[in-house]
Amino acid sequence: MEIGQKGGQTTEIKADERLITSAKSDPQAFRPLYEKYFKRIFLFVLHRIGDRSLTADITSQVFLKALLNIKKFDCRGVPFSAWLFRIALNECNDYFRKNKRYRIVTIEDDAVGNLYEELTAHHGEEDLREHLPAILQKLTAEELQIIELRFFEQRPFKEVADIAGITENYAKVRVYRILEKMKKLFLKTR
Amino acid sequence: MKQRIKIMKNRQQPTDEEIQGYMNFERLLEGRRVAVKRTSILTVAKWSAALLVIATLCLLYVSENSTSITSSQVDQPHEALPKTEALPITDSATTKSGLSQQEGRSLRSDQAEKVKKLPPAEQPSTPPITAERAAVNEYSQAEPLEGYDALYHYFSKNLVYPTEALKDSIQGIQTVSFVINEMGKPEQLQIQKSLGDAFEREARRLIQNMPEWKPATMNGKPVPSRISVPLTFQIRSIKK
Repeated sequence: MEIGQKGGQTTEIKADERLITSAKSDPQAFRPLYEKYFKRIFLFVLHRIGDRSLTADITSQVFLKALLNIKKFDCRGVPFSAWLFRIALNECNDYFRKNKRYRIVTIEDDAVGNLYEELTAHHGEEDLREHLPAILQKLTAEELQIIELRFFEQRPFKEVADIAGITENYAKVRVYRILEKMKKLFLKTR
Repeated sequence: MKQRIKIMKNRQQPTDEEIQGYMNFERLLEGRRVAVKRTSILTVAKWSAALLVIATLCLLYVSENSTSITSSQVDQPHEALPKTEALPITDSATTKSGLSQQEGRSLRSDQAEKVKKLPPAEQPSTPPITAERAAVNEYSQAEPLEGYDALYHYFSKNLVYPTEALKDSIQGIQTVSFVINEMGKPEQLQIQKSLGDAFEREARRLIQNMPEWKPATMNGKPVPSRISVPLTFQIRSIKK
C-alpha cells in the first residue's frame, strides 16, 4: 500500500516537473499547476486566516510569487506542493505581522486525540482539551506552525520538513522538543 | 516570536464550486505582466542610479586628485615656482600661428586659409605645455644628508627626558615641525602636539643640533620645505 502510494507520488512529481519545465519558458503552461493546487493552497491559507475573501487575495499572491519565481524552483529539491505551501506560510506570516491580526488555529476532535497520545499518560483527554488553547498561546510562531502541520493537519514528517524548510530528521527533533515543552506547560496548568 | 492566536473547533470547508469561483488564471497572468514590467523599470532605475553613483565617484576622485596636485604645488614656497610659467607656450603658439597666417596669405584662398590656420595653432602648442608642466612638477623632497636612519639614531641617542617632568610621569609623542631652508638648516620650528614646556625645550635643542639636511629642490633649485617629525618621550630614555 505504502509502496503504491510512493509510486503514485513519484509519478505526480514527474508530471509536475514536466509542467514546471514548460512553465519556466511559457507562463501559459502554468495553468494546469494553478488548477491542480489552487484548492489545497486556498484551504491551507483559509484555515489560518479564517476569512474567505482575504484568503482568495493571499492565495492569488502565493501563485503570483510562484509564477514569478518559477525559474528559481529546483525540481530536485522539495516537491512543488511543499514549495507552494512554504510560500503560502510566508504570505500568511507577513499578513499577521503587518495587520496584527489573530492567527486562527483549528483543533478538531481527532487532532486532540493525536496530541493526547503524545502528551498525556496519566491525565484525561478532557483535561488536555481544556488547557490546550492556553498551552498553544505560549508556543512561539515557529513551534505552533510545526505542531499544527504535524498534528492538526496530520502531515508526514517529510512534508512538515519540506514546508518548514528544514531536514526531516530535524523536523522530528523539533516535534519531540516542542512536545516536551508542551508537556511541561500542561503539568504547570494543573 | 509569539503570535496572538484564536482557537477554532471546526475547520471551514467551502464547497469546490465556491473555491473555483475564486480562481482566475487570467488575472494571475495580468498580475505577472505588471510585476515583470515593474521589475524591469526598477532594474533600469537601479542600474542608472548605480552608474550615476559610479560616475559621481569617478568625478570626485579625479577632482580630488587634481586638487591634491594643486595643493602640493601651492605648499611649495612661491620662489620655488619658476617665473617662466607659460611664456614658451604663447611664444611657440604665436610663432606657429604667425607662420600659418603667412602660409595662408600665400595661398590666397579663404578655405585653404581656414584649413591651414586651425590645426597648426593647436597641435604644436600641446607638446610644450606637457613638457613645461613636467618641468614644473620636478620636485624632490628634503632629506637628511646621512639618511633617515642616521637621523632617527641621532634622536634616540640624544633625546633626553626632562627630569622635571618625571614627577608627573608624562610620556608620549610630541610632533615637531620645521622648515628646512635652502641651506639645509632648520628654522621656523613649531611644536604641533606639545607635551609641555620642558619637552618643547628639549625638542628645540634636539632639532637645532640635528645632522644636516639636503634641502628640497624644485627643478634642481633648492627650496624651503616643511617637515614634521614625531619625537617619543619615554621615562626609560633618561640620560644619566
